[in-house]
Amino acid sequence: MKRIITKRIRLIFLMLIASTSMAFADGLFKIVEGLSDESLKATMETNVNALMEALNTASSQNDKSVKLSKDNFTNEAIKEIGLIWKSSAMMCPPLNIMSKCLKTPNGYQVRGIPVDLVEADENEKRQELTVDFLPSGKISSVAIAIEMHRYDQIMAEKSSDIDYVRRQVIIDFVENFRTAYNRKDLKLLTSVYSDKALIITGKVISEKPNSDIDRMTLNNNKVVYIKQTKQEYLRKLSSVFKSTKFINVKFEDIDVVQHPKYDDIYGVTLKQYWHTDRYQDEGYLFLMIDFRDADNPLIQVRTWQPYKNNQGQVITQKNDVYHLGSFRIVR
Amino acid sequence: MMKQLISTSILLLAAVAVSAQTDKAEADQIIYQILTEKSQTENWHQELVIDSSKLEATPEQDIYVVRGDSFQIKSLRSDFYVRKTAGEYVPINDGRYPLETMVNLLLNRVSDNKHKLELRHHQYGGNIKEIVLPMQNLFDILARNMLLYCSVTFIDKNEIRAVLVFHQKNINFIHMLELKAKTSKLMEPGSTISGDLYTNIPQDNVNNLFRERKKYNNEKDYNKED
Repeated sequence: MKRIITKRIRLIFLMLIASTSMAFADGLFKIVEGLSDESLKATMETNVNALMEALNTASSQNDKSVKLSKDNFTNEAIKEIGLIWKSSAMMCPPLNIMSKCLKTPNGYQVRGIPVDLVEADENEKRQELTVDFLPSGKISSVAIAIEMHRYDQIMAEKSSDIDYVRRQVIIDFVENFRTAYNRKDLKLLTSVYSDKALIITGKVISEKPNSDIDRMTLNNNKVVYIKQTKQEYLRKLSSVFKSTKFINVKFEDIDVVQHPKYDDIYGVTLKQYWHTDRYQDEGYLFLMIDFRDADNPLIQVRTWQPYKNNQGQVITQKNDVYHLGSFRIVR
Repeated sequence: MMKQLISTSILLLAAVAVSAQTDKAEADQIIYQILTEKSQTENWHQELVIDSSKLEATPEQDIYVVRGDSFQIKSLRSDFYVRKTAGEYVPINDGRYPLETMVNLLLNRVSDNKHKLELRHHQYGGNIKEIVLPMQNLFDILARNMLLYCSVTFIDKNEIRAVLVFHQKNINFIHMLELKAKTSKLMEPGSTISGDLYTNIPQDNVNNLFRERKKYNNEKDYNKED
């Protein structure tokens, strides 16, 4: 009886050895789905098995590098594996791997090849490799797969960040726009106004008081709005540039609002202080900026409304300033 | 000595680029000139001091976030990541932690940063100039006098994108970089992080960057199909 048990144990042991050595000889890696070309499949399997064998050999011999053949790997892949090896030596556990092959724009990919990082803590030891192939089946890239899902929660809180960048680019644009007036840079101003820009400028008109009540309330100012084309506006601006020694424009209280329907249209409201050697004023500026071409934003609408009249009374409140809803966008 | 003096004065210029004496056009040019100088700069890093009261555990074992401050929005932060190894806290620079590594790279917490930056510098006048420089030069030139904040805005196995802001607190202006890198190349020395650079953006005249849209009487116009 004892002899039978010993025989059986010996048999199982021999079978185990045989299966292990067969596995190493035949390769542990198989593509079972996603590829019908048998010849290509065989090439890719051979190359992945060569990778696994090379990793195991280098690991068992404590080698500083992994010996890889250019028959199985591109130069870039050899470089990548060398870099991975430098930071984390690894070996492939003796497992049968049945893999699915994925088609990629540059060839093929298999995922989920288990490796054990030699020096990692126990709970971080097991990782997975993602292997990319050229259309010929040669390995073009090897990377340790990263569990991206662990970032899901962090990333879920970041929806506003991309919009943050856009809004700071708007502030950058507005500062360039301001600088252009101070530099009398007609070329820049010509380039930032859309050819079809709508330009509206408010002007305070004093009317003769008709009654005692008007006199008492000083309610004798009207703001009239003048509509100009880009060409008309820039022609007048050009003559202002020529007739003044200096221009000092300052912007304050900048607010940025995104259009609710067109996410590449923004409204900017600010207070403008205009000061030259001949004239000065304060007013509210509204700009509708079109960011469809992010490198070349365009001003579609510019409005200016006087803040105070000649007597120093406030005649435009912030709430009365033109805004995105004041204009209909036709595309 | 002279070289050092010139270098110091350049750094000072960078810090006061948008002061009253310098307008946006000149300030952008100064930054461009400094960043494109060929000379190798010092491998400068802010001293690594870990305040244990600011350490916060993450779901990953032995990985901690060192809490810092936020700037303008909640997720633009100066937080960085460390791993506890043999009782020491070491900034993470590990391909298995790409988000944490990217944050540490951008906040100049990686001591051996060999990455290259390829930037499109958006300058006054709509000029966009290409700049290629060692990433460490950027920190050496700008980080000494400015506060750094970053946020990773996108990550998958192929690409990682982030925004990095340098804030000059006294004059209240920022330089902003919108960057991207290949996730798999993050650990490769000399690999490239590319993106857009916007410089000398004033913040002191900004009232509300995210102003809520008001409900107006002509609200229906917004929703009308044109």
